Amino acid sequence: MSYSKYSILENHDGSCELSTQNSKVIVGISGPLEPKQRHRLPLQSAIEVIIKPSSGLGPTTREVLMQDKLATVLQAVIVTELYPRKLIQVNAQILESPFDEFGSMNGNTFNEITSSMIDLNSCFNSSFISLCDASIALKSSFVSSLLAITEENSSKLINLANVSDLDTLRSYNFKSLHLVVLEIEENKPTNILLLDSKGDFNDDDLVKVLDAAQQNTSAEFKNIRSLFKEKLSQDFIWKK
Amino acid sequence: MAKDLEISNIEKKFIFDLLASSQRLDGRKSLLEQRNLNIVITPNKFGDIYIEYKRLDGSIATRLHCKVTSEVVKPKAQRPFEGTFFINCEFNGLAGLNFENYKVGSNSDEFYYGRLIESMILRSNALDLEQLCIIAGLKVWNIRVDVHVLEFDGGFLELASIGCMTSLLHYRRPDVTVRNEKVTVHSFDEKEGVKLGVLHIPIALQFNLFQLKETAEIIKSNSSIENNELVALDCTLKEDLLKDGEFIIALNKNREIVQLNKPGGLPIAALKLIQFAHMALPIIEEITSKMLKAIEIDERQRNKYGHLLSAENDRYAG
Repeated sequence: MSYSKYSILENHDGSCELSTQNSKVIVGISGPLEPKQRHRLPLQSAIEVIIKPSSGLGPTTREVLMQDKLATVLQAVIVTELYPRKLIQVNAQILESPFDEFGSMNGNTFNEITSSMIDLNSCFNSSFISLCDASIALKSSFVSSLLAITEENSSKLINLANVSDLDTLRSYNFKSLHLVVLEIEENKPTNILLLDSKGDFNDDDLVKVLDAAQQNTSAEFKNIRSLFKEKLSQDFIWKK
Repeated sequence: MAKDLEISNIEKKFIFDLLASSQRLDGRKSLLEQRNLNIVITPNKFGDIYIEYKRLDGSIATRLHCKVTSEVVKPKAQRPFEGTFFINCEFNGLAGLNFENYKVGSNSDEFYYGRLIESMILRSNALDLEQLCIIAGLKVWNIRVDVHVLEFDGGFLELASIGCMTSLLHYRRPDVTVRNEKVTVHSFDEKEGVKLGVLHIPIALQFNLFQLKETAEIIKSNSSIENNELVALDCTLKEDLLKDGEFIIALNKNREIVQLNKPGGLPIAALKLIQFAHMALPIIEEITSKMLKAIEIDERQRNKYGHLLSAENDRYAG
């Protein structure tokens, strides 16, 4: 389960610090803003996404790929026609990543993929809460889940956001990883907004992953709803 | 986007008048009063620290995240026995909308302050680089500190220098064994991490100078430049934009000056230098003890069962 704090950055319209069992990101969203000339689109708003790595200068190619994925989903979800010639700026800073420590990659190339997918998963969920906090018009809600299939037991799916023990996480021998972002309409997960799979898998695996993602999405969304209920009860006119 | 913060003339005058009557925009009652410093050390991690200045009402004014990472690299050719050390600090859109993302060049404030802290730590030998050597000329540790600005309302230099030193004090690098030029890096499960060699703790402090009388007025009346300035500590962002000069001093609690910097701006009387050093000393001492206390508390929590495992005999006083 993830734990999130919203409205923590004063300088942004909306913000959220989201921590899962093994990662932590902070996202600040501002908009609609007056953009630079090159960002100005005549009929819709531009969306700028910046993801900063937990260590080192960035965004590097690793983060740029994450930015692109995040931007495509945001483009589909935000009602961009509502803010023509404006800019919506999404700033994400990764604070903790499970593979930060020296030597934790173990020379395993799959770990590199795992690390960026874990970060991206947290960025997705955190930016949704920030968007709502910034009161930016959305077509629908979305929740992202990151599921993995291991070599040892291909029938069991692992939700990576819930693995708290870092040694276990690093010791897994992953067969495939799936990042699923599902759209939520009328309280139910419906369309797939983004499906990013890495590794070796077949169609049966994918069906299993989608089933599990739906369950996870419903559960996560319930949490987010209760979070917003609490937020609204403390907001201006509803405040008791 | 990335529009510079602008202050209207009325607000400018208001802030100046407040300063002249020893009041601050955020409710502090003295020019030399600093905001509340709070150090949060992330449990289960080494060298991962959140450091914040809190306003009087408890809201967070400035918040930084300092994180130390290490890797094994080849040393510089001129210095084969020494490890390397870097500080990376960067303001981006997250700190505020007045900061540009993707900026090029290295002439901005944070680069300047970053280099300042780096030289404060390196040139004064605060971090023992020779301890970071694994095999001379082939393998050394590279220690880097990343300073992420999460919230910004002035006071960057002080917070960044405190944050860097705290995280360096707290960090542990993995232990290594060298056998026949073969290097084994041990994970924290195999061998306990090794603390970095921090020899002393320099902390930078910035005195901000505000001009009282116009320069033309001083020349006309032929009076000296003495006492023409207001000196304030820990400026907020708005005050920072209005200042006419700064004076940076880095000290450690052994009463040694580590670095002095007066990059132009309002001239001050030469004797003020000593006065500033005396003013800084108790502040530095207080901050240092706060840092060490935070680390000690964290150490105690980590080492909860340490006393049970200890084989040390009881010592009786007297």
